[in-house]
Amino acid sequence: METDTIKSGQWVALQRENYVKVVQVTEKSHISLGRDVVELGNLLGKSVWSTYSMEVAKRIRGERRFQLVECPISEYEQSLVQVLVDDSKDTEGKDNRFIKDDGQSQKLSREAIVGMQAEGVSAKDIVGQLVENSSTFEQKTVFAQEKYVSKKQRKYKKYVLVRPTSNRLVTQALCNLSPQEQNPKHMSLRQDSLSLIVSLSGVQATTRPSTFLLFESGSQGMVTSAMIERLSATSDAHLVVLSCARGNDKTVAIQAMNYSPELLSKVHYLSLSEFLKSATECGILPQKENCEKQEEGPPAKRANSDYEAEVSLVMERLRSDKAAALIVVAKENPINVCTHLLPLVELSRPFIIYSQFKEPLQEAYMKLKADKNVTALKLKEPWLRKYQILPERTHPEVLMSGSGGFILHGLTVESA
Amino acid sequence: MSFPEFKTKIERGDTVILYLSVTSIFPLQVEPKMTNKKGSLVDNIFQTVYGALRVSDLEGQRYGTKVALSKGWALVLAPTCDLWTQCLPHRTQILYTPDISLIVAQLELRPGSKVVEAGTGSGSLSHSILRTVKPDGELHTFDFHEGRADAAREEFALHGYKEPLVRVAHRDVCALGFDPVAAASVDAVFLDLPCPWDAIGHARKVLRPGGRIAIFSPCVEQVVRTKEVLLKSDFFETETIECLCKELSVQYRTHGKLHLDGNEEQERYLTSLPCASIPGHSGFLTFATLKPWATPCRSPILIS
Ligand SMILES: C[S@@+](CC[C@H](N)C(=O)[O-])C[C@H]1O[C@@H](n2cnc3c(N)ncnc32)[C@H](O)[C@@H]1O
Repeated sequence: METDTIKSGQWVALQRENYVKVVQVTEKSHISLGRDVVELGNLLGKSVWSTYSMEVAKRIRGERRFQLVECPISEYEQSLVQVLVDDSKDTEGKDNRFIKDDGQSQKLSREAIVGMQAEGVSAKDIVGQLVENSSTFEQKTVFAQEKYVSKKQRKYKKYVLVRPTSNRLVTQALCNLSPQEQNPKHMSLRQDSLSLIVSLSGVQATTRPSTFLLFESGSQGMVTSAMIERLSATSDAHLVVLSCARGNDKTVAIQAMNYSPELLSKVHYLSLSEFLKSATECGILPQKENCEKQEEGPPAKRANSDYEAEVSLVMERLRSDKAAALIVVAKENPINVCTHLLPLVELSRPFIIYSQFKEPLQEAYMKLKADKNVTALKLKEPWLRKYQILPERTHPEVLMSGSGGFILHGLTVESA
Repeated sequence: MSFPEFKTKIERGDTVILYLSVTSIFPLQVEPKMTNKKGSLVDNIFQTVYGALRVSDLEGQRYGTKVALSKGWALVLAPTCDLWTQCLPHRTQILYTPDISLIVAQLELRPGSKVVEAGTGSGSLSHSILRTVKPDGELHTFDFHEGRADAAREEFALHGYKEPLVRVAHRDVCALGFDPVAAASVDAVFLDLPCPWDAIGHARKVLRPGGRIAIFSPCVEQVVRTKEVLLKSDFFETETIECLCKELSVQYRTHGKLHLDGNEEQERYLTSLPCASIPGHSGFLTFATLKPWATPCRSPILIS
């Protein structure tokens, strides 16, 4: 088990069954986990891999506040739902033809259950009582019986696993939401589309200087974070992140990774309009009359010396070596951003455009094809399906993600 | 040597991708001479449908430009993992970019990661692992077919990937495990072989607590058996997924709009259509995490 302990300000992942949330731990921080509010102060000084049960701490205006009480791993493990039923047991299981679902099968009253909870009766014992008082339990198949028990157990006692964050978990936390909380903030970006973008971009820790150019808007910094991870503090690969809005370096996806300052020093956040202006001024981009007005955001007020230094560093890098890739992940129509930035990319390097919609990518496809400075142009639609794996009961999961967005990608070549 | 760093000019020793069309892509090793069937040294000439290319003519050319062939032209491209996967010499079945991308991400690889892979096969996945874990990571890759192990080792070296970044071993990992990889020393294990369950106990031994494992299997029965063994070998959060990537062909289409009087009006759409027949299955990807509280074990737990 990792011996690192959680310090104030550090981000960790909190996992309850398959539900993951990334949180920043401080003395006073609390978060909502499903319908429950959980205080995090207890995590300070604990191991980054540790297990907890949720116990009611206090009530604030009728709302229950939970605190996390460290529990033995064995107790946590027992709570893990691992439905690994023997085939033999299952074939002996009863069928369900006699079960009537009339809502009358549980003889234990709600009041009695609440009473037991208040008395502090353990979840295991409550479930035992529920089973004894269920008139249909005996008629259920073995599989259904196990499901019943684990479902009830989860309802009456909740366990939480605290673990180090990773981009896999961050993606899970930001993308895989339950159907009730459909979140439009990630533009259909999914684990497979995200990994494909990162992989096609060729982002890597090079020893010789290389600069990756990324425009990201509307996906909570997930692409930026996944690309930062592929750089290394000891290499000379840098990432330039362009955007219209400020504060792109403060997104949850990036902060949650606890990246070291050394690694983050390889990442440069610039506003798109200022970047284009500087690039034109210093001659690495040709003067264009059709620099569309609406692209220019509000004039930047942070023309401080740090920012200036950042801009000139980026210009210097791109002047000596053109960009090693261009990645555009945008909630807007990406065509203008793409055609303006493409001349900054070295020949024979990848470019990737991601959109939630395929129409703008079809348009971009035709435009780029006509410009004749790219090859191997492809429009792709990723597809992903999860499976329940059990002996004799393997099947695709009942719900699946309907879209992972669209990816247009190709390679830059000398224009014909 | 054109793999680990980006290059703009072609030099002797580089691996270059000759791009004729989407379906006609060839890797070339830039060497002026080659040995012919009779064993004698001759000029390295590459034949294409558009005529011959004298490979030594590529030296000094810029990547991403056109080269003349005797009856046409082709593009010379710098190798990327995606291009390499599309044109590499097949010594076995290989993994393709959508699966590869997901595997690398789900194994949580990054520069510095230490990885074990079996079997090496044609090295399609290995190239993406190496690109991700360099410069200071490690890939220990195993194949029980001696010829494949040797070919992979040579190919990696030609591409600029050498020890200690990559070590290729000839070994039956199901029978003999991952020696000399030390116990609890690697961050991730990847298995693409017919009986992965026989290697899971060995994987358990070399993985650090909290490390990740990924298994690629084409058949459901393999997955069921694999998952059972994973759960008995201190792994948790097992997940099985399948991913595909549908390619869409972008085109303008004219489409008749039928009026009720029987006349047709022609409309033009910009649309995109999937091919009539597309790859529908590559394999199931099963992922799991070694429990962080799993105690180090000196010998693999054998589960039959
Ligand atoms: C399908 S190929 C792997 C392809 C590889 N993932 C790629 O992308 O190129 C499977 C390889 O596993 C090897 N293999 C099968 N069983 C093995 C074992 N027990 N130990 C080591 N290698 C094994 C085979 O020789 C074969 O080369």
